[in-house]
Amino acid sequence: MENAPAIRNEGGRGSRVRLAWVALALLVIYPFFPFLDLAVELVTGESLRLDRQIVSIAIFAVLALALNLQVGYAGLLQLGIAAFFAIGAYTTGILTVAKYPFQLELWGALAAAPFVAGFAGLALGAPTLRLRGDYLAIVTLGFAEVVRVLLINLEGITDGPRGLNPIPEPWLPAWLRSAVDVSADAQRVRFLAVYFLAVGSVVALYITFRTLERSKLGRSFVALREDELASACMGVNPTRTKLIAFAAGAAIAGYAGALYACNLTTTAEPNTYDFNYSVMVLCCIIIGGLGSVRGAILGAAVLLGFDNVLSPLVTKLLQRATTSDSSNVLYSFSNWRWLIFGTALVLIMRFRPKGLWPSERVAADLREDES
Amino acid sequence: MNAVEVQPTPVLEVDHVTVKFGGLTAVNDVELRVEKGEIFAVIGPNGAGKTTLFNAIAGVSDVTSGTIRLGGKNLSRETTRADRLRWLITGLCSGVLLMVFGAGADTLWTASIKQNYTSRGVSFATAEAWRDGAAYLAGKPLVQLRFGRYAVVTQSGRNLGAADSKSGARALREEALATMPAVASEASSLARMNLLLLVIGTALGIAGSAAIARQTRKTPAWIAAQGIARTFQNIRLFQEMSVLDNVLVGMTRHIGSGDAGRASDRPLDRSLALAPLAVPAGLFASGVAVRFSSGSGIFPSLVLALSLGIAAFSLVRIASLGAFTPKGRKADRAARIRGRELLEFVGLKGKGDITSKNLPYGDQRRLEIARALATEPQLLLLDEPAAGMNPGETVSLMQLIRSIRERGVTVLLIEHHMRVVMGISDRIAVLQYGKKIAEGSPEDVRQNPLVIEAYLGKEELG
Repeated sequence: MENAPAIRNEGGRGSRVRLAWVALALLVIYPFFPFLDLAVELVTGESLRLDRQIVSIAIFAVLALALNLQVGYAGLLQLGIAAFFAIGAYTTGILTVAKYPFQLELWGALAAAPFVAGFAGLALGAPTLRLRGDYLAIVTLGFAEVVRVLLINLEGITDGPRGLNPIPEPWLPAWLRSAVDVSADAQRVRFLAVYFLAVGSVVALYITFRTLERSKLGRSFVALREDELASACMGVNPTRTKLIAFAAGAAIAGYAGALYACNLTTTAEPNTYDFNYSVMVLCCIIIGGLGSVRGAILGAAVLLGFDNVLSPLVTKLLQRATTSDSSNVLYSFSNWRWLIFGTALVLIMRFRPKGLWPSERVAADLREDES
Repeated sequence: MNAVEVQPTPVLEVDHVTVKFGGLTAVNDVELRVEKGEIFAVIGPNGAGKTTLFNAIAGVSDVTSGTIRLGGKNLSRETTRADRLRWLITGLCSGVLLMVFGAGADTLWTASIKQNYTSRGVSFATAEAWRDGAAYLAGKPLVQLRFGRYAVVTQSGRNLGAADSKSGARALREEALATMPAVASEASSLARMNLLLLVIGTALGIAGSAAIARQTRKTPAWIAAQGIARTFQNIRLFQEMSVLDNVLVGMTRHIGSGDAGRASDRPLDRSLALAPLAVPAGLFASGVAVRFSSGSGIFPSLVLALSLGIAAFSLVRIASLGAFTPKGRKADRAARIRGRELLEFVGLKGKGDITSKNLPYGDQRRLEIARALATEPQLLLLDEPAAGMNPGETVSLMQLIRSIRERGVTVLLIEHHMRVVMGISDRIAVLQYGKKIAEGSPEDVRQNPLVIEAYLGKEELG
């Protein structure tokens, strides 16, 4: 009786690992052979540019994983993740853009961004992590607004509301350049570098977080989330552990910001990093399943996939189907998408309150409850 | 060992401890001496202050007066030099931040960096930038490039003239500072203001971090590290974690401490820190290499390859230490084996993978004990371990407590079940209204008229 489910789990695990390898292989060959784009193009006559969307999704997934570390693991309700994202993006901008004297290689900026954002996280976390739940949420929300307003108003430093551009192309050695692209098209090389950087970061973070779950530190995070007093009485230092989670999450968010700026070739205007952005990231980890690494990645894919892939595609299809009256607002899918998005959120929370793809333990519990 | 036997130090000494909550005195001048290897019970009617005493010992509540010693060592943490250094660094950081923002981060940036950066090709004079930044903070007039000439402008906007070269403008500025009292007084008042901001910020930072440290001087985590573990009256397990993981959290302090026979998470933790550092550090190094070799030659490629190699290596290491490979499962096996031993010891054999909230009530109590034992305490505080248990469970709990004592752990417990208390305790202390009214062997306590009165009320005579 006790052995039967264990064996089934082993089998499930094996097939899942194999599936992950297949998915990874598909991701690696995708920029060279965009099979999905080709298929869609055959049907609709339009290109999806899915490879570009994969980059956006991967960057968003990195951000979601950062928030998942803070909210999902350590239970620190953080509503200002966009601030650290913005700090990362602007650090990259200031360090690389020709308007400033630093003009670091993009690689250097990618390294510096997490440090600056992590330091900001440390500075915010040290005095405020004694606050619980709602109070911490308000503090982080306020911090995010302060950062956004500072970015707009420190005009001498951040160039005000315009955003910093152009962010230079990442340097690659000549042999690697010629290896990735025979035509040596600068844009193509840049795209490939960002693509593999973003996808590689998600894979690296996935491995790191899955390992973290089984480590002492990861257990301390979860213990702290479950019961702060009890974990303190077991010798887990709450302040130190929370600070690690907060600063590491901020640093990863800063790294995501650097990738974002690198992908867009601009830091985007400060108003991009508003409260809505933080809430979107929070939505995506809640949809995926709080505290679940795979859930956070899935959530990012679902959210951005809906907004950037599905919605334009459906709009195009609708336009083709209803050429007669394209001026009618009801025929444009993008006018419906928030309605659909909201309904889907409500339905997910009603029928899968633990998220679309919760962590293994929660999933096992749910199965147990059903049987 | 012999010395200990000759002069036995009590494991726990509670010395004139008083705990007040506002006007309410929950524990009033209580004294306890718990000897090594003893099972010591604290009993008393509801509201007698037993749990408050426990909380005071475990560092959850603050002691109003009195001292608590564990093995002769006072349980209050000294301020170390590292603590003071940390406060100083925090203070300086906040001071610099306050000064920079008070003086105007934006104008400071403009004065030091923007003014010294002309265009892409021209190399940036870092020393000049520092010098101009310092001059700005000292309140001196600014040297600004205007229409090809270097203008000298006070920080309040007064134009003092212009020169053709930067050094000329600097000379003009020094001259103005020397000859014009208005300029000099503006500079000195600005400098004083900035210094004041720095001092205030530093003082606030130091005071703030010292206050926080003072508040958290005797945290439960620190007490636990000294060797006191506890269970809770109302069970406080990590509900969403597995039974085994609960025990492993208790082992947190020991995992990786390098003791033989214990599991070591150390390489894993080190890799976890290494990977996120190695990747950006390697990338940064290759970026630096590119700048110095101006993008050509084999050197940058080598650095890049090396850094990617380090990154890949640390990732593979993380993966191999985690749950991804057979080797990874081996890595924390020792900790898990010890955790399972502890579970077996408290009678939860084979239940390690259950989510702890799904355990039956009696087992949850046992798990709390296992988790507390995992911290390898000298002293175990059990807060009503038999509460809500049926008679059968109670008997096996008594056996468990005895076998805990046989492991060399001293037990201090609060209990209402008289059968448990009388059955296993070596000595008993009785609290009433926060005061200790009796102490002694179970027999003494049972016959003590004060105790009988506390529990049953005064006997009417006649």
